[in-house]
Amino acid sequence: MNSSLFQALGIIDCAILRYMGRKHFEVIFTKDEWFFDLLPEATGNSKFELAENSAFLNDFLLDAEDFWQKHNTGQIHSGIWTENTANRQLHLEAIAAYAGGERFIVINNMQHEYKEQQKTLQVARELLISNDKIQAQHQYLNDRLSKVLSQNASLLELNLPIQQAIEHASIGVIITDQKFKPITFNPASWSIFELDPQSADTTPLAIVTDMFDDQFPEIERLKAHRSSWSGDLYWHYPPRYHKWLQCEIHPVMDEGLGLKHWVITLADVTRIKYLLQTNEDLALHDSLTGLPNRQYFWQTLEQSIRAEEHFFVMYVDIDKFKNINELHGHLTGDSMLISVSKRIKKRLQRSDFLARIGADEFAIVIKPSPDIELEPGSDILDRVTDIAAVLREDSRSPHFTERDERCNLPLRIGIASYPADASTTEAIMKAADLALHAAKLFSQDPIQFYSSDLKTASEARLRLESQLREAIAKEQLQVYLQPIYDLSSGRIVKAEALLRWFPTKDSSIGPDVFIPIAEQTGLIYPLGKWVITKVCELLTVFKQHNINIKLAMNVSPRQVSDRHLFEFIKSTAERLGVDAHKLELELTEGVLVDNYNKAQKLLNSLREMGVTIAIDDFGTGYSSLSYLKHLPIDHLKIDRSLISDIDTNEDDRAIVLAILAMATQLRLKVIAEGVETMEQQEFLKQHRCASAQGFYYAKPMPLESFIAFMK
Amino acid sequence: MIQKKVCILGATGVGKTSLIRQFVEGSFSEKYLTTIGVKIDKKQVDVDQTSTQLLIWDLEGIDRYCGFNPRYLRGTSAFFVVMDQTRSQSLIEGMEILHMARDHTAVPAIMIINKCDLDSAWHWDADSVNQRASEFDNCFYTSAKTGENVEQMFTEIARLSLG
Ligand SMILES: Nc1nc2c(ncn2[C@@H]2O[C@H](COP(=O)(O)OP(=O)(O)OP(=O)(O)O)[C@@H](O)[C@H]2O)c(=O)[nH]1
Ligand SMILES: [Mg+2]
Repeated sequence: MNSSLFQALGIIDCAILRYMGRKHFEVIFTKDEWFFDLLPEATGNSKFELAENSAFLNDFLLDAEDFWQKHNTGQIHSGIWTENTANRQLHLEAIAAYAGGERFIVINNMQHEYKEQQKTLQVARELLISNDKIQAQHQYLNDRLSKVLSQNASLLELNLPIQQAIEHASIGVIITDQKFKPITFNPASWSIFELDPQSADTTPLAIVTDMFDDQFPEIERLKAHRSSWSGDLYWHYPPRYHKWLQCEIHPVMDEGLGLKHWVITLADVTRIKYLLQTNEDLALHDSLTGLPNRQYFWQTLEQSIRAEEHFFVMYVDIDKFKNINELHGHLTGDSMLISVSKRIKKRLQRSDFLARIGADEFAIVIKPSPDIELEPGSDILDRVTDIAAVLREDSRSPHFTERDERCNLPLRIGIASYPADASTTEAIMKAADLALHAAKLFSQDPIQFYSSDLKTASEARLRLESQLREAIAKEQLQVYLQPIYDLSSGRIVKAEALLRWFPTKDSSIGPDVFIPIAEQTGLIYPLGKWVITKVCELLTVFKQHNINIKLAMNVSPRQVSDRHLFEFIKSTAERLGVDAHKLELELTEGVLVDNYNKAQKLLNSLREMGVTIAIDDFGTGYSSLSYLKHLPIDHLKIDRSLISDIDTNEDDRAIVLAILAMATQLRLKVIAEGVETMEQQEFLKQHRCASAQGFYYAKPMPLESFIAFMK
Repeated sequence: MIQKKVCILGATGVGKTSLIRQFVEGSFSEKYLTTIGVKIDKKQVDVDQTSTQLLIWDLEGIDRYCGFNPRYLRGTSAFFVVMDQTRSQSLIEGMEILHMARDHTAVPAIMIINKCDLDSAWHWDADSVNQRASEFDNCFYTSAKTGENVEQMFTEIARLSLG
């Protein structure tokens, strides 16, 4: 072939070599001197043997040979490499190809591509690194502060090292009390806003609060729910100052989970943003997923509102994404985010706008578009509903990491519409955020549309949450006792401790309402500890009254995941001199299935100590029964819903009988819950159910009544 | 003379290129120029009277812009994982990189904690470093700037690569 032909065809700056085998090549085409710098052995003859001048090329030849052996079409690329030759530095890429039955190596001169890539990546990586460092500072300060602040009674007792760390930190630190009233500002927090603490007529906190109101309307809910946030805020003080600040805000709780402080940290990231602005693409896009970022999203919302278009905002959150980072590491976490974003994108149309607006949060703006044909009779709302359902459904199948591990990343979605739900950018985001929050709370309904009912419900819940917090702190809840009967002897052998809450003299809130709230807010930890202590105290009272029965208490899923649960039970029992054999723990099936390893460890330790275990609500959910064989379990409690229809519903009767048969096989004792009639009792007795509790025998009652009842 | 291929892995900007440069040329630059792709340097190292020619593969930092490419590990006799002691994230990423590399090769690995001429990140806790170091065959605290332990780390990898 003739090289002028290649040139005429405008073929790029490359060398083409035909492979003859055993490191022998024929030069088919080369345009420039660089090739002979790279492989001097080729100088002067069209055929040559590859020497050891380029270690990289020699190495790539191994890949190439491997490829030629396995394939007879296509090509593989080496990726860019850099070679220092006697005369110059080269940036090259090699390709191994198979064409027309022959094997070729093409070496491309990548000078230009290298420069371009270098330029972009240089900026991107410098950003990544600065960001990392700032992030680490935020995190360090917050972690240390939360730890120290949650223990210390007052800020004055902060120990010296942390105090000095704050004083000298290059990032601003503001500590407030639980009502957001300032307590401490470090020097950097003043200097970030160019303020002199002696003469300023405002404070860093006042400025931050203003910025929040304008730029991050979700702040109110965040405060109400004591959640954390991090993101960028823009501070503009005309004509002189404008800065981008990276801000983090975290609540600090005391051990009883009462809110003690807020910690706000601020770092000036103007330089980073400036670097970004030299590259517009980076400025408006998220570097990880390539999707539009929060800023871009915000602009789009504002534009749509100005244009008075109708649209929907979908706020999408990945459930428990934090676990992925903890379990698999950040690189994997990052690649999972990319995977999620791709999956979402696939389901959208060109006119839909998808952005990444938080670490694990995405938002979608959906408008009616002439390009999209809707099914006859359906409208945009139907489309939005469908998309949400499809996204949720998609998210139920696992993603896979590079190492082929499964990651479950289910999505939760909150949806609001403009102008029906709100009329400003801030308000529409607040509405979508509220809907998302509801979607997170109600595990059965992971998709929620904003409505005024939702708003009312959310406010009511918040009130309830703070009431509960107070009730726990002031020990206003009560433990009631319900006797459990041995069916063959008719004697009381055990009692179940049940929580009751009477906010006022003549109102009561059921555990089915407040326990889920306690679970979701983490209040279950202090509450659970209180119950354990109370139950042990009750056992000592029993002893004084010569009541010789066991006492069972309920343990919730989140408690089981608390590493210190066993320790606490053990030490409390020992401290109060309670015989562990008198204690029984009731767990639901779900805990054992979802959290098998932790549950197994816990149950084994409890068994060793002498505590017995009952499975609560048995028969209502899980079909995976294999755990029954492998865990040290003593009792199954058949759920009341199965007992209540036992006389009329054949299915229920069949299930109950199956449970009883299985329990016999596995040598487990069965307790029937919710027995209300003599017929139910007789049926259970007849089929050798060991024990029962329910209104037929006695309702749950306070301690004094119980003691009287026992006598 | 025996030739041995060794690779230098790590997150972006931890000082991989600088360490090689210090070792091969005895120089250091404060300016950061991120590596694109691969560059191979050669240098002879003597271990117990054996001269070994090290082929040192400087790889692009592994981050969200450049994934981990196991192909480059083929035929390597040992590898470094470099971490930057001013950036604790690089420790976490370094460990992830080690684990990914371990899926492809069982050759010796050395942990390098670089930039020790600078103040360590105040939150870098010694226990967690030691615990992680135990997953490697050896560990060095280095500075590409002052040259501290640079000679040593390469002598050690030559020794390990000889098996
Ligand atoms: N003070 C100090 N700076 C160092 C040291 N090692 C590297 N640096 C600096 O850190 C920056 C990054 O160094 P490089 O050697 O380019 O890092 P790299 O790991 O090759 O980076 P990538 O190729 O992007 O992955 C440069 O600005 C170096 O000057 C060190 O030991 N001490
Ligand atoms: Mg480099």
